[in-house]
Amino acid sequence: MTPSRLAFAAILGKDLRAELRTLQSLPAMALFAITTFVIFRFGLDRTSLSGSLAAGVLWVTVLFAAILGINRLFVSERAEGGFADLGVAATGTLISSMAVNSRARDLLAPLVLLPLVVPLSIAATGAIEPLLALGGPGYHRFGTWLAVLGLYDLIFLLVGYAVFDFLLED
Amino acid sequence: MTEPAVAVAALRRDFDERPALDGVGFELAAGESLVVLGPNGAGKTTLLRILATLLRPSGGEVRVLGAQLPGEAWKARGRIGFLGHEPLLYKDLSGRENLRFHARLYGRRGAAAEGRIERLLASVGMERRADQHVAELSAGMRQRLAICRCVLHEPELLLLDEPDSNLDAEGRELARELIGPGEGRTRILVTHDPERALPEADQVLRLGAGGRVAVA
Repeated sequence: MTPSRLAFAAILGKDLRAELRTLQSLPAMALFAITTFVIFRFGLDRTSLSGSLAAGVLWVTVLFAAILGINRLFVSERAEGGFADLGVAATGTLISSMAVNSRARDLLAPLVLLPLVVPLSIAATGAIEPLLALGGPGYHRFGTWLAVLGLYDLIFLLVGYAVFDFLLED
Repeated sequence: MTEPAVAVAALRRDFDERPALDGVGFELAAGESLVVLGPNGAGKTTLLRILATLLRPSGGEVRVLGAQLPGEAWKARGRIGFLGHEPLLYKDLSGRENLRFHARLYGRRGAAAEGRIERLLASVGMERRADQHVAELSAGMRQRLAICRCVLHEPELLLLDEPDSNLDAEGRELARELIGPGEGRTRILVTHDPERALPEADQVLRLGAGGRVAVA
């Protein structure tokens, strides 16, 4: 395993171990996801969803639940003074490391992150829509959307690599 | 002529226009110890954080282990051991888990890494408490673990910010084996205890108000 992969595995393992031991984020994320589904159930007045609507509901829920976890992860990292090399996802990592260095840390991550992940959620919804289609899954333009997702992640990995030094400074 | 391990010239660091360091310069050869003295707010910790690549200088020249900072910081980072005010330990993990995590960050794992972790824990008298969560340990015990973390990857340069803080007499003696002078260690030591530090210093840097060199 290369040193960067070993470091990535170490950080992932450390975060999972700490979270499973303390359960600081998972219950809040699960509760949030359940609440969102309940709100959608009554808001849309539907008992079943398919296609683009189902994909949209799924990704909105995942996105907002992930923001809870990402913020928690970085505030904890900052508090213990151990900001390390890699995070969980390129986009969230970059924005959250900006946010924890800001006085308005609780507000900045959602405000900056949400507009930036709009293209990501459009591509993710586009990719998953045919999979949730009524009458069985399809793979229409699945590869194209996946490529868009990959490209967007790559851009943020490169931007993160370029500016990480600045963001980690006091 | 051998290149110095650390070379600093006309170093300046401002925080919102306020100078924390101004015109600091010194050269430190490999294997030497530099002791940094000065009152609170003189910029001692700022100097160490710049050398540890955690802060960017506002002006001047800084070379650490042959790397020009901040541009070549990546060349020096893995070769520096930094012991700051914070122990940089995760409170929800045990001491042993913390050291294992840091070893992996430096690309070390397997029997060799485990062996080194056990030797370090034994050398600071923490082998029996190493499976306790860091949150349950006293400040002195955390400092002992932080010293293990600092030297775990066998760094070429030690940057030590008041390493004796929170340590009892026994802890200070044990820590000396790992981070004290000798064995060719290159060290920059910030301390408020000149009586203890000066006898082992090859050079002394005294910082005054506004981060200016008071007496070189």
